[in-house]
Amino acid sequence: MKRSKWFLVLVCLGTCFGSWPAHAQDPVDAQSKVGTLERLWGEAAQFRDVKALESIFDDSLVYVHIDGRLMTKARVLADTKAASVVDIVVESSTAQAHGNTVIVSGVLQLKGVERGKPYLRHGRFIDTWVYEEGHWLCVASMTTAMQPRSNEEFVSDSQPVSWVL
Amino acid sequence: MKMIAIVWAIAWATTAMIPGQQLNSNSGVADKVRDLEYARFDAQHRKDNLALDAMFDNALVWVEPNGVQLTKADYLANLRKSSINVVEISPESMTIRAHGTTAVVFGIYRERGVRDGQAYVLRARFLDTWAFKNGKWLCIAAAATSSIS
Repeated sequence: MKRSKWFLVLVCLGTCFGSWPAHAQDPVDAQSKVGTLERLWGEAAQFRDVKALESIFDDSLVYVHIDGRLMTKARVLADTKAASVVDIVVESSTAQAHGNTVIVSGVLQLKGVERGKPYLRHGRFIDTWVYEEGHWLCVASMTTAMQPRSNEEFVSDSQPVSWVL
Repeated sequence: MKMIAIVWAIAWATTAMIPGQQLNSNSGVADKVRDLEYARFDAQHRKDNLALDAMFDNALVWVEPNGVQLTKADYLANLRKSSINVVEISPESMTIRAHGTTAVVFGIYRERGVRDGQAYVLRARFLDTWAFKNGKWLCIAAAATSSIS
């Protein structure tokens, strides 16, 4: 009787303490889910699907454009609506899970036409995803312009092109 | 049975309190991470690899203002052998957004120094991510860009 009492106590403790780290996501699962969301982001940007983007971004999103502009979620969505057609190709990307956070880093390529002139740019991006209330949301994204490659036409004096990734 | 109920209640209360005490206070997180950011800039200035090693997660992703990506090991090795004399590196502005066990920091920093005998000044926008891991806050990603619109 005494033994079964202690067994029950242990079960109770196990239930409570066992559930505490359960908030942390399985790294492989987290990376896979965020990878899918990154692809969805690319498609939504391409097709200017603002609704899809709205569900991907946290309301407090911090977004730094390749031209260095600091933007809010509202501004990113407004820019997407008004965007000219831009081809976005993710050349490489890697996801790294840290509990309820996933960092995705990689290189993207932007192709478009600006003032009648075609351009090609490369940027290094880092996206931060956080698991909140059962969903993965992008809370921060920054793209840093890379040096133009030898075969690229770089429009250095151009105005920023509206694009989202 | 009474004892089981008491133990269960204590355990439940304890588990509910631990994350609350450590992480749910956004202002507490912001203060802590702000201090760490200042310490990070200071350590960069002093080329204090030991301090940076303790602040950076082993899986750190670091992007320089010119778009070059470095690992933690690359960054620390570069800092050690760098011939750049950084006279000043400090944040001009800093905002912190806490999301539970994650904190996003963004702002603008200013750096001036001497590179290859030439004085330089850099003003860059930065965006860092910190995560609460194994009882401490670690920088897991840091990026900067010298383009500031």
